[in-house]
Amino acid sequence: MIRTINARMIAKMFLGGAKNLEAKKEWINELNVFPVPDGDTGTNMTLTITAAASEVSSLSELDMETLAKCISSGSLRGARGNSGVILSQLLRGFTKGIKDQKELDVVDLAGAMQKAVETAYKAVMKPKEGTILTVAKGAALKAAELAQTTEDVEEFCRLVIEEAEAVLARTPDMLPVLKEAGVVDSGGQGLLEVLKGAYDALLGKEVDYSFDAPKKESAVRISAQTEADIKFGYCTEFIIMLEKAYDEKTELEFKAFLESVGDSIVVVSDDDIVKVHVHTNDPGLAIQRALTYGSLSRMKIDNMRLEHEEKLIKDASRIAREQEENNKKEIKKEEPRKEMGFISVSIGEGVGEIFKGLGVDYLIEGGQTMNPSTEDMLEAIDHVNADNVFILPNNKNIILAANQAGFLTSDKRVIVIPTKTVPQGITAMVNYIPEETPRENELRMQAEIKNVRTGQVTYAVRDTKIDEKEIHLGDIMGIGDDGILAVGTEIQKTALDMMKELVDEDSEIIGVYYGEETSEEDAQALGDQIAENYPNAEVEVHYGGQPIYYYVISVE
Amino acid sequence: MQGQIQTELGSITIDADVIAAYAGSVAIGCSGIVGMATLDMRDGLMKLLKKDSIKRGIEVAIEENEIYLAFHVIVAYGVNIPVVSENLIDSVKYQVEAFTGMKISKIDIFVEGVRVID
Repeated sequence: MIRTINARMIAKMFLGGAKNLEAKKEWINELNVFPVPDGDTGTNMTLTITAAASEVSSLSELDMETLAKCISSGSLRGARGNSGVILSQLLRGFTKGIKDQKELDVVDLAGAMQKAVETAYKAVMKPKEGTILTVAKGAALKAAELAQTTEDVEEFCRLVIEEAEAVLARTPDMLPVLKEAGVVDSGGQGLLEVLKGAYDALLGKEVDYSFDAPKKESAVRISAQTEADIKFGYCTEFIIMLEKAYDEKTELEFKAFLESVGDSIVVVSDDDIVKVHVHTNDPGLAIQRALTYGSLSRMKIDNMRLEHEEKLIKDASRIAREQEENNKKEIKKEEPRKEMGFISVSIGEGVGEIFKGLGVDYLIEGGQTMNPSTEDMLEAIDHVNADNVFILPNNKNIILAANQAGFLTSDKRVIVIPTKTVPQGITAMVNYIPEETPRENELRMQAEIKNVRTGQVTYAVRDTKIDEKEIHLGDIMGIGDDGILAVGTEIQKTALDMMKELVDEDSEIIGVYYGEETSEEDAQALGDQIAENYPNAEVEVHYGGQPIYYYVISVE
Repeated sequence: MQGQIQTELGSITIDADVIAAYAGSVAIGCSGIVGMATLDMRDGLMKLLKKDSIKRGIEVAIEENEIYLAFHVIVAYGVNIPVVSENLIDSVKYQVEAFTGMKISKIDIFVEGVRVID
């Protein structure tokens, strides 16, 4: 009989719980009351817990306090959605209850569960019963009872889970929406999967515990240069804005000159500018020579010997980041700093191509199931070398992360155009006029996207009733900007029904983007039919390549 | 300030206070929000309000029959603030639009304070 468990076992159980939740996330998404096949709870809770799990699995020191901190802060940072926030609170409370112990017995576990429930309940003013909170509360109460009657950790866990399942089964009686849709609460189900996974780990069942290591790994590399070995002490960088004739021969002469005064030379040029980098003991010489070719900008001179100490530490994260960037991108010349740059979130291959063709500088793969984080946004902003960076989120869930990233960026002006759908993003890009100022572009884009109506055609993953429409598993739905516009059993017909709601006599352009599950012939046929039905509008069919949505249609 | 909905037989008028009260009841159900705050005119401090004064932490404006909402909230220490705000926006938009039948044009969230709850 197991009477106590240590930090190592808790870590194992946590990872087991996370893995089990991840495995069941699609199913939990389907329990969501809204029937679109990319609902949130499973994904959100999984993202929350795996953020913590990645940190836990890369821990080298495994003591209770470090483990507790890891779980707590990891889930806080990775929290997504309301269910994710509540899960992060449960974990926060639980870890508070365990961090001061070396080993945990059933009394400790019951106490920690109680603390978890308290923390989650205290974080909301009016808790909703019939949700993950109720399941957690039921489990904690049972745990308190059991702690008085048994010492066996395995039996304790088994009975707690049984109680949690019973409470979960009662949730439809507590929330009418659940009863109407015929499901239990998805958040509660998610919590149950975590508990079950942890229990399996306790029993020693075979589980793959690997989680991808957290994204930013700091590889500390010992710098090859020691202070004695720094031959040329000043790291000198600048850009020459060419005013004189500068051809290959000139460049070779320039490089030769630099080699005579220093090393680590990089000279990269295009028609208008030359970017220069050199380590030298006399920066003045390099600058003087450069001035004979034109004027200079972005000049930076660092004393490397002084900075050597700091360099060791900064280098570590910089090298890791550069390695990542080099692995991802081909080596290309650094782009000159321009006035306006564009980042767009894309959901499909074809859509990505369209954006690139319109002039988008950097694409983030995103959409409904994957919510790019603020960090992803910041990385994107980093890659775009412009004074004003426009972001097109193309999804209402992503607008916040984009705004957040904008707030955190200080060296560039970030402008978020609040596009809620891909067609709105495309319209925004189409309205980009390079000759105008960023502000003028911003105002025009914001005005134009309001004129775009979007319809998305996809399939239902469950039976449900919403907006007074009855929907069955496998039905086709046409979803507009505010709700479901059409329901049917055939893709083409439902799409055409949806068009009736979207098109009016003012509509001029209709764009049909077909997804990866739709054939070109079908898309073309639909496009032709739409053109026939609405002769006043111009219809264009494009390959979008998006998953899940057969068609994304824009009407302007 | 009022919102108006036209029907065949006449019009339905919803007072802004009603919308504020309803929005407030949605907000208190969001995990991470532990209170509503308002600027006390006399001494300019942020105060934590009791439950029945909730709607004073909420601003409502109605223009061209579209609703603008601003929430002045106090969050719990140890929650992910941007995510909590986003959840609040999503829930409020869905619920208020369903409740009133009117459209929401904008929602601003002001996180006025953080409260340690344990």
